[in-house]
Amino acid sequence: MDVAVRDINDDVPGDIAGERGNDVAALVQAPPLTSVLAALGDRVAPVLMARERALPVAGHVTRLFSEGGLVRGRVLSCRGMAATSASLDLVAAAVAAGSWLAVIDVPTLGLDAASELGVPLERIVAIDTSLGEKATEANVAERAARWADVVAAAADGFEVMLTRVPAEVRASTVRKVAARLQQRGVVMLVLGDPGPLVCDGVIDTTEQVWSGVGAGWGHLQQRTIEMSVSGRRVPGRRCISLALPFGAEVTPSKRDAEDVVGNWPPLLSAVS
Amino acid sequence: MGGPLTRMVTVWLPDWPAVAAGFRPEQLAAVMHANRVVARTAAAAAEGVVIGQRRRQAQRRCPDIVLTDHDVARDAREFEPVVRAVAEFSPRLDVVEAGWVSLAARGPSRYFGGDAELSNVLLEAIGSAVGATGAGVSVGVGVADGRFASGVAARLSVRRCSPVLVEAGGSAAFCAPLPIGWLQTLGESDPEMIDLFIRLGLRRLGDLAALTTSDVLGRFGHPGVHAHRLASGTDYRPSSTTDPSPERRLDHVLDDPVAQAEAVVFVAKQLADELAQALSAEGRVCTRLVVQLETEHSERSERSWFRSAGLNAAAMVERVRWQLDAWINLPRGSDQEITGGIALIRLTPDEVRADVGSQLGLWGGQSEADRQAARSIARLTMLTSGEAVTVPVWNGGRLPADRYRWVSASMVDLDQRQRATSAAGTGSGPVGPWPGSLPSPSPATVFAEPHPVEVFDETGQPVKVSGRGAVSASPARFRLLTGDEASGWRRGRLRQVIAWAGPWPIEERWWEPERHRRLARFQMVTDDQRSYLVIAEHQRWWISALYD
Repeated sequence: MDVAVRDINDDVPGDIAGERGNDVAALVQAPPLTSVLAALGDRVAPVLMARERALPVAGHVTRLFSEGGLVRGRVLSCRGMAATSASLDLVAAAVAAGSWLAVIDVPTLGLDAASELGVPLERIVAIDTSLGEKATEANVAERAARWADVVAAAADGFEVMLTRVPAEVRASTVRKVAARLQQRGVVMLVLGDPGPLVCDGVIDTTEQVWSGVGAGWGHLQQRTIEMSVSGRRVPGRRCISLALPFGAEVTPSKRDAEDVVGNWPPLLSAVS
Repeated sequence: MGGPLTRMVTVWLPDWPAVAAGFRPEQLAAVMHANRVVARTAAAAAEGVVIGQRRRQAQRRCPDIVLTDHDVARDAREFEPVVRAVAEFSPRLDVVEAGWVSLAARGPSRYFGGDAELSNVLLEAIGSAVGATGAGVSVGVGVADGRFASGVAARLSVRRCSPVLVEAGGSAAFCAPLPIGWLQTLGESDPEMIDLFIRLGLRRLGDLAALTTSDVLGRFGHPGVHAHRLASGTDYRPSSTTDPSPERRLDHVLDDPVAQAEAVVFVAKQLADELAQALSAEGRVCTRLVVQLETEHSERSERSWFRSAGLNAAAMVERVRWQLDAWINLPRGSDQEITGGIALIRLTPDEVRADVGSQLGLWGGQSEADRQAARSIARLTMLTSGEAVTVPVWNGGRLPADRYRWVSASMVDLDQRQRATSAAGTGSGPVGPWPGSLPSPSPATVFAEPHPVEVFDETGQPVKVSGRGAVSASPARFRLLTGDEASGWRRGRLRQVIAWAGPWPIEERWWEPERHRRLARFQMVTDDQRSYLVIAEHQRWWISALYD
């Protein structure tokens, strides 16, 4: 054991000559050598740029990210009026390219909407950490701990996660979770309040305008939203206007020219 | 494939799922899967309920019918007494699925003095094994050369109500006049190929058998050759040609015997993955798998499972689960009852053949991400519970909450997911028409339990929807209600409605009083540009989904 320990800890291998009589023992202790090699491999591994480590996003939101996609290991918080749709829109291309999506504690996810935004449903797995219990004073801490366990376990097999952070989760636990996501290269999108979880970026959706519906006629057809990204790992604030669900980018001038929904005269819409 | 064929006995219980569900033959009942009948009781059959019928058709034929969902695990569990009864005659029997067992006929047939005598003894033994759950269950017994021919004979025997015996060497002549659809019935060929055979004028098994093998291979590939071989009465015979080497046997000794079925299945999954990977590396697939389980008290359970299409890792695990379930659920006090934790799991591929049928495309098959996810799903299931880890399956419906169903990830074959999420058993997937559903875009947040709201018009009067779908006034504002009716509602702030559309009335399942729903849907946009899917049902209003 001595030999192996010295191999790891000291840059200069120890005086093995003095223990030459113990060659066999040194051979038997091969496993530590592999761990040395693994550590060495990590140190000399080529440096991957953030751009190369990014998961793809659909063309119409590429401009939002300076790296051209969702950088692995990052936690993004989705807020605003179209948070759920925006999060689905962002992960669609990655899931379509073969990544699996874990949906943790978001029982309200609308699968039709996911499918329309281009997320293949066969690679969605939902995990419910409440195990069917009602939230009570007694079990909130336990449930928060279970959420952290589930996220850590899911990080092994899923490249994208969509979750809500339980409010009672402890800051120390959350730091471990974030380190785990970073290590496994998982992109996590958080809906709602991220609590103590430190987010690398915030995706905000504002200025939502619906079209296609009026005072008793039509049906919801399309909306335009402003999607912006800011945060500690995002240089500057980037903002685009989008039309969902078609994904076509709207030029600001065109959007401004459009009237606010509901003020359209019914007659005009009947003609168009 | 030369060599003499093994003479086989096949025992077939056509309505096993109905028996396993606890229905007596005189009850009017059927077992459904994907909206179609998979099994029915004798009484329901007499009323005209047939296998493959849609739910509505079955209910039209027989309005009082009791319908229940299909549960493969339950079928396998309840089948154990029958398997044990048949195992009295020959320990080497293959369970194909619950309700379908085959065994080599030669030994027992000699012992009892002929095939006819063997069939009668078998019928008697199965009758007494099933007797506890219900007498009068139809049982078919067929004896013939080869597995396929004996399977066909057993099915014919159910119709003729007596065992069907095909004399030695007569399998080809026996099969020739039968319609070619039998290949599909016994799960040997896919429906598209059978359809193609029929359109080409090959209506009987004999017509197909008359073609030369090379012609069939050239036109239909390996699946066609397989069908041709079965039609000519020469069964696929891999056991004599490629005996799997003994080192293929995989076992796992649990130092610490485990009592939870889930933990045993978890270990079995690792073994099955390893086995399937080793076999597929050689381009082979296992068609008969022997599963051995042993407890710390040296009690044993050994079963041989057969599947002509080949067993992949998921199918192997499923069979271990069935076997374990059946063993655990044996009645107390019976011999071979399980008394300790499982200490040994052994999987032995007993028959392997070259994997010719399921060669996937260059870009098909499992990717590394899929394998990682499958492993992760298994771990998450251990960490939480089977019900907590779920995957979506297309269900169909007009309301957002009805359209998909979440099913336990451990219950589905993740390789086949694409089929389950899109074109499910109903024939129309999410892309197909579902008349009366709302047009896209769909709401991104769907509440399983809708939130109650109050909707008012300009004058502050509650808005009402008449039975004919007319609205009393335009909705102008609404407010959320929280809490519950008993302790009094807490009212949220009023929200202004600036645009709305609807009502779109639907009336669902009017033929079923307890599941009947009549409601009207509205889309409402509030002044802060948030959109809601609001429904009116029984003079009350609910928010069922958000377009967020």
